[in-house]
Amino acid sequence: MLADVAALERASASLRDPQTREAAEAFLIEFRRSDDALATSRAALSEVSVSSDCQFHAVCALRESALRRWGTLEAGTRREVWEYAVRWTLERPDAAQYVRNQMSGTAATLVKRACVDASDEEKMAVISSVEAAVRGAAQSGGGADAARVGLEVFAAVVGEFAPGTASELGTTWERHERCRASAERHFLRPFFDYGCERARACVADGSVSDGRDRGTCAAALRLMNAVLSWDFNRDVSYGFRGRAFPSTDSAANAFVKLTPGIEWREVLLSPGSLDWLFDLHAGAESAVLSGGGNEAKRVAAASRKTLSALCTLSGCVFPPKENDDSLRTGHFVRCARAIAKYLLPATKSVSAAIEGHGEDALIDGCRSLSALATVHTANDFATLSLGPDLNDRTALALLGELTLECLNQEALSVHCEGTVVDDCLKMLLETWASLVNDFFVKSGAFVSRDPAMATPPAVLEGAANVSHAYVAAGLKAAREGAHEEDDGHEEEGKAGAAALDARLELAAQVFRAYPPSTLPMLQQALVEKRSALPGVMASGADPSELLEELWWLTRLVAHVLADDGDGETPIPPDSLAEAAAAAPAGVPDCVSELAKALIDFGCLALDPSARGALSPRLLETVIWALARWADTYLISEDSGGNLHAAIYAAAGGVRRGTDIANKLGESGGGMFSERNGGVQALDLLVQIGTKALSEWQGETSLHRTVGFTLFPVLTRRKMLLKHLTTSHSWTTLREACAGAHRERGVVSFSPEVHRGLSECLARVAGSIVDPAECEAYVTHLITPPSEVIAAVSVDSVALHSPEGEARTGAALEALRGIVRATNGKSQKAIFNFFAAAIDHLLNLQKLAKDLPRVMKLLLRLTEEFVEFNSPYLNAQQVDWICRYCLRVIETYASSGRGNVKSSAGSLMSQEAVKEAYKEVRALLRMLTHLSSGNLHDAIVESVSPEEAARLTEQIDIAHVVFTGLNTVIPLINDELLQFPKLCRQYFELLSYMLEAYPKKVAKLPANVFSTLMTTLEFGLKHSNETVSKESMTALSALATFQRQSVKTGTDGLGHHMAPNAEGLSILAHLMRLLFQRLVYEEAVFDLVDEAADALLPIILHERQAFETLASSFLAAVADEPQSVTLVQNAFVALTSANNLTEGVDRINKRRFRRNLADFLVVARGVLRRR
Amino acid sequence: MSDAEHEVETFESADAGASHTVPMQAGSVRKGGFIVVKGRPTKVLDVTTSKTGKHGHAKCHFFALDIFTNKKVEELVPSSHNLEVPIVNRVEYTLLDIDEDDHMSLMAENGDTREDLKLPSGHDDADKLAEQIRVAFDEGKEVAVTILCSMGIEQASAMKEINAGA
Repeated sequence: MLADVAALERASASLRDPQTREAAEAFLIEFRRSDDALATSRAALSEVSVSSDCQFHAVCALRESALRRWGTLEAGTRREVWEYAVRWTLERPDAAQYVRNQMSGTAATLVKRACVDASDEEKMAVISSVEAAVRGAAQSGGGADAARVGLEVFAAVVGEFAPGTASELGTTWERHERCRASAERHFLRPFFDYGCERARACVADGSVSDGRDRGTCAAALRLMNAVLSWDFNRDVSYGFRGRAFPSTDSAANAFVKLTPGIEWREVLLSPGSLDWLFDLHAGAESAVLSGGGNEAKRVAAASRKTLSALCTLSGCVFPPKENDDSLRTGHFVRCARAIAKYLLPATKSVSAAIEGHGEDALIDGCRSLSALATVHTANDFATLSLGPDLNDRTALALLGELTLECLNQEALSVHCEGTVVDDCLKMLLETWASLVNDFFVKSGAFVSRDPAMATPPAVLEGAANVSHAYVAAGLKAAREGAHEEDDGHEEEGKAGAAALDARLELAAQVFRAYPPSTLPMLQQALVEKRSALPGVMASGADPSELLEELWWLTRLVAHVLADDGDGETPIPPDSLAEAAAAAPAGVPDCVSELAKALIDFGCLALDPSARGALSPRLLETVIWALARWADTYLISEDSGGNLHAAIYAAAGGVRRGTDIANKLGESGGGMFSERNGGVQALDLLVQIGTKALSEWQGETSLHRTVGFTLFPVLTRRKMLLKHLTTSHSWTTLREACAGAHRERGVVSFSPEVHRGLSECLARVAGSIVDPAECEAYVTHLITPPSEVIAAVSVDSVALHSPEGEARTGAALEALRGIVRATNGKSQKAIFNFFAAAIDHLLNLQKLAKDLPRVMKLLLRLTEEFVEFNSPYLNAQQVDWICRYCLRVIETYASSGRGNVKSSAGSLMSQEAVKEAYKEVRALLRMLTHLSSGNLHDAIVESVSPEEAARLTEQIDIAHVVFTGLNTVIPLINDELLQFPKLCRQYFELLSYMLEAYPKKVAKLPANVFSTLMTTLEFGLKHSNETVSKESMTALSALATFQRQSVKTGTDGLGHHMAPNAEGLSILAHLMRLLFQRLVYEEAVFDLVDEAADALLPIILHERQAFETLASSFLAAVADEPQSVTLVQNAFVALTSANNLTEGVDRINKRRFRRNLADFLVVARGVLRRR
Repeated sequence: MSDAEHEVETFESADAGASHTVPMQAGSVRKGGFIVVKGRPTKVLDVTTSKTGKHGHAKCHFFALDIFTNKKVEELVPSSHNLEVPIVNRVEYTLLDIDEDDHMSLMAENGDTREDLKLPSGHDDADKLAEQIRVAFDEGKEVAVTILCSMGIEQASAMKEINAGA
């Protein structure tokens, strides 16, 4: 055996040499698996002379082989193994750190392994004997070292018993869970107490400060931390409640609340019980600051972690507030004091963090403050003094000092992005946000807002101060960053812009805390900077800095004023609504004043002499801000404040909501309501948008913001639409758009903007009451682009000139926009246009066969026309649409587009393939829209039942779709099918059609049917899971139809079932294909359910073919009688197990799914091996 | 013949003096469109926009391929400025013959014939196309050749077999 120890020693040594490393690794792996690994590694560990490396590998081998052979070891041997591991750890405190860590971990794992299968008493016996060993070693004169290793063993055991950090033991989750419960009940407290006791002893005898404790104190703190990171939330007696994950995804809130039960109250909360810890922490931090060594740093870090854990303490460990709040407030003050002591003065700690030492301290401190704010109330922050030695500061003062210092240290500048100050500022602002939003109870539910719960004035003032400093710092940072090249706002910089928005959103919460102070300040800053603009422009100086300041300020103002509606109906933030309502009658309120300043700023765009000062980027942000504001405030539908009232009523705070509602009611719905300037503001916004389009030529990004952000907001709500119908500015915009189509020469803005604008313009038609007027409105919109189409459709030369192509593109985009805004009122006019223009469109399609962009837009237009019209059609229109679609498809097919081959590596031909893909996909989508239920419903609903039956027969939608498919399929080649979207689209459509119209399939001409089946075969073999599943569903539908027809004596698939060259019908052929795939290919188990549904009806129908197939599988293993029997039995079970019957009903299908899964396990095992 | 551009066989056609291009605002040229870069007609494969400084005007950055030589080119233009856009035409001819020095004999729809164009050459795609045309023609198939014309340059850009599969 000694020879083996020597071999182990050699292998450990040669692991360091790259030359011999591979051989050594192989040896070690082999050794760990060998039978005598346990004995040899123990022998190696008992040798005094072996190297640390060798010890390390011996420990690894011991752990692995003990765990693997645990089941076969006798009870005595098991005990001996874990006892040996514990004893070795305790007796060898001088071993190298990494060996010791590995061994204490191993000891803990083996102890846990011994406990996993044991009863509660046995578990306790094991733990008690470990405890006894540790205490014994510490007392028997082993000195500080022995005490330290003991603490390490305890910490390892705690980690091992916590499910989150437990090792894999090859046992069930339930047993791990029982170990956790037993640990929580029996030994967590004693371990914690032991840690406290040890640490206190070190503090008391002064051995921490001079290092005599040899790390015992840090180890004790680490043990306490291990206990404090225990997941107390999962109380088995209440059932599994899951881990308390952080409530938000923000970095600062990434802590888990510590919620131990009442039994921990005494040790954690009783006055004086943890004072030594706070003192120790303070001492360690100051030792680090005065240049303490590594040991001081270790103690400081460990104690800080303990402190952070204590800050997250919450739940029933505190006595109920109404009984006795002193324990909680005492705890709060102690924690806040501890943070204050090491982070004050703020100047020092923040500069230290910037210089690179003490980063962790600052981050931990900020995170702890943020934790305190989530657990405790704003009142605690504002009123509880932290003690005379801290000048009777409150926690709020501490928070304010830190925040202001971060802002002073340029946390907002570009250079600070992602640094420690930036992170800390974020956490501190989140702390502010949770303080000012305090009247929502901590759990996140609403409470009534009684005066006692109101946010304390000191918090509001503090928030206002921070807001002022934030603006000053932000403007400074903007000035300094004005000349940076990367503005983080182009296509590739979207993430940067989103990050800035996230930051401002957070700050906005603080700004909103006290509107009477912050909003006027923002307004003043905006007005001031704005009025400086003409001067700077006139002087000829570089305006970049001023423009950047305005840019930043505008963005902030928009965030403060309104939330991103994000699909919801946006309502003003609570505090702003309240502030607006609180203003005395006749006096303008601060919210409206700020909004006025913003609109006023936007109006610069209307002034020809001042316009030049607005850079495209600035105007883009102004327009974005105006859109955001308008969505929330402009002629709000909640003019009576009823939404607020309803929300507060639900929350129990009826009075507050009613106050706001009454106030708004008195002043005629508040500023910017219908009667109070809203209409004028709407008009201004339309004018600003129009000017941005006409005066900032070539600024596509700006134009997009107007077309896709501002105008959609203005045309979203009914009230706004109503006023737009009579707005003069809106008419000007319509004329401008019409002019853009008619104008000879260059189109003034990019085509897709035309789409956005036309969509908004057309949406207004929905609110024109008089049908004739509505039709006139739509016709007016649709005529200019349709004139362009009519002109180019008969003039190939004009179409092929660059200008003609561009104008056609713009006209098609505009038509798409109008079609997308189809509503009940405008549908008739839009449909009539198509009916009249059909020849032009088809002609254009013929001429544009070499103009991919025009072709793509044309097909998208048709597709969207079908999609958006389908809810409003009548039977005649459906008939027309069907015929129209067929002609579009035929024209496309005869144009020779689609079906392109790319030659490898050629960019040009790859582009051609992409173009073909987009076009064919548009065609498929058109067919999918046709097949959707809407068209069918349109026929049924628009006429009497008898008439409907006749019409459904006459307008054969299925026929159109199949004819369309037959034309489209040849265009789809293998290259196009590499686009997953196209592939999925096709097979979804195919499976839908086969399921919905099997009878029509049966009547298809032979060539169409065989094309469909070829694609189905392709789909069945496809590696994409969705495609395979869709194909199987399609096959299932087809087979079920055939099976049912035979039962009822009808034709079924009829002549399509004629045998092929191999004598197989199409179903039998596909069955064989599917079986081959299931048995021989990889990754099929996800497909079993769909495959079973497809196979069951075929097997029932094609008995003979199935038996032939089965015998061909058997023939493959004919030389192994045992395999033959296995496969044979598997086939028998497949068709008979689980009481399988002859039906294809739901229950039987379910049985067959199980059977198939079982069959595949056996069949694949036998057949794939060969 | 070191310069790849010179390897392409091209001919100035008779109307060399007429306008081959029209102006268009750079901001409205999209992907897939044509522009003139350094006097050559190119097809735009990608457009990105950027700004000079934060508050400057938008500029378009074009990434394009020479439609005759397949060479990649790039161009940066303020988006409100005008660009030259080449007029690009495609004309289909029936291939009548290929002579020993690779000149094609072509017949237009109206029956006119011309013999002034050679088989395409000069880069991989062109050589491949020439090979295809030759093979199809040698096999006795009826071949239609598409000639791409722009800025006075003409070159075969595609071929197809007429009545193939019929």
